[in-house]
Amino acid sequence: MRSTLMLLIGGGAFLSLILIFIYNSLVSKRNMVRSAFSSIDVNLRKRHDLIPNLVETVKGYATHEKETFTRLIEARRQIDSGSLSESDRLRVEERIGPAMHRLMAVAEDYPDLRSSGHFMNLQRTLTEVEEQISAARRAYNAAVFEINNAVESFPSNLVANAFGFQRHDFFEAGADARSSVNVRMDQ
Amino acid sequence: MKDISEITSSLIPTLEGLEKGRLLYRRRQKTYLLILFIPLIALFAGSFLIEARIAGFIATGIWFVVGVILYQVRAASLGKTYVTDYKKAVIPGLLQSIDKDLKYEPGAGISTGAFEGTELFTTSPDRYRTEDLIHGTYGKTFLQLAEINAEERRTRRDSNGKTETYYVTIFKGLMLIADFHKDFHGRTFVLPDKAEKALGNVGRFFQKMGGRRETNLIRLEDPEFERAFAVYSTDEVEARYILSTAMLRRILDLRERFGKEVRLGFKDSCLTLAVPHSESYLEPKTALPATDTSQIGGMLFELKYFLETIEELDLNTRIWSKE
Repeated sequence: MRSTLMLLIGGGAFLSLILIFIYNSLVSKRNMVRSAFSSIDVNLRKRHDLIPNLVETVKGYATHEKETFTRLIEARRQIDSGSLSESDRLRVEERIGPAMHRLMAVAEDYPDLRSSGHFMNLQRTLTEVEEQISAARRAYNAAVFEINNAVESFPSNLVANAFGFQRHDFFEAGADARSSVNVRMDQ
Repeated sequence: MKDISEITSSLIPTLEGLEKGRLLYRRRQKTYLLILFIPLIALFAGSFLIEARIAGFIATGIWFVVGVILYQVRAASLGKTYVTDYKKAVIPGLLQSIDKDLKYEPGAGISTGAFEGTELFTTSPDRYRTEDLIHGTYGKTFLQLAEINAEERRTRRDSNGKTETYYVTIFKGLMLIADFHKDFHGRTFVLPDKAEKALGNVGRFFQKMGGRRETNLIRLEDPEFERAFAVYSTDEVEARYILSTAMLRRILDLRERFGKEVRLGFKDSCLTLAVPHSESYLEPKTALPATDTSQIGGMLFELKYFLETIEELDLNTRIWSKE
């Protein structure tokens, strides 16, 4: 009788330890997803901050790109208003990258703009921020891969379901953003 | 920029001067080897013919020590002088043909502090030798390249209880420290993956313990790269910023060229590459005439082979905010 009780207590303690371990591991994975997402956010904001500078630098040359300017300024206004949900904000941010690249491409036709120190600096900063966004996305997707594996695998799925841990969606670049990523791949 | 035939012809007068030194060394080498070995063999054989055999063996031993010292002082030192003079005369010209901003210092190298600071190896060396430093700017990249032999001292007891000291190699080969083309603040290490390859999923558990101070194991998307290397970093996003998908392929190409034990570190905005290499590089052969131009071609090939790493890793592309 006593040995059965000891066995039950021992087994219970062992199971509790496993439960604690799985729970903590899930929390750590979820925090990694959050941390990776905030890195994307920080870098998107960095890119966002480059818009006034870019518009100011290129506007004298790209009068035929009026529609792009309008789209870019409107997107920035929407984000600044703070009225967008997180997912809507990301969707709007996704449109910003290609529009900025389009304006940068204007310099191809204007050698004096292309060779200006200010423009070159802007171009370098944008390239850097774009790569940082890409790195943050890869980190986010790696973190999502880890938590999704844990949420779907046995026995961690039992703990995940009991404590409300959920699958996350991978960050997929839109068609426009994908084309700009392809350009960077050559660098 | 001069080509190899121009460099060679401009060096001929210098090489002819060096050839005199080489011939003197070769003559002395032969003479002192004869001075060492003929009496040595005679003493050793004679020891068996006399009664005081032990005294004969002792005399053989003493002559061996004296002979080696004589050889080192009178002949080997000439060989070292010839090698150093040859390198000083030939390598700067070869480097100029690659990039005029590259300099060569045969006696200098990468300091012990810098070697330990790279964190590519966890053991501090007890015996450290470095030479053949190449430094300067290659294209747009500042670099230091040197040969290193770092060893750890260990002791063991033999069956008689005597303690014996011996040295184990930590790293022998070439180390390249180059300015990286992107700015970063953390520390990222790309080390050969041994645990996962040997033990599969269990190995991954051990991999987590194989990192450096304050680093975490980072899993990257490229399966081939993951099989070849274990990546540790203080910053997951920054590690991916440095190790872009294109950079992963370039590092795999480097591994193909330099072997499986190649390792890389990214720290203080610099890249460190350690390439194990069992043979000395940039060493002229004393058996060949100094005027033999095929040696010069071989040295130029060796220099280009390692310096091309800068282009292979695309470090001269400066499209980011770092100039």
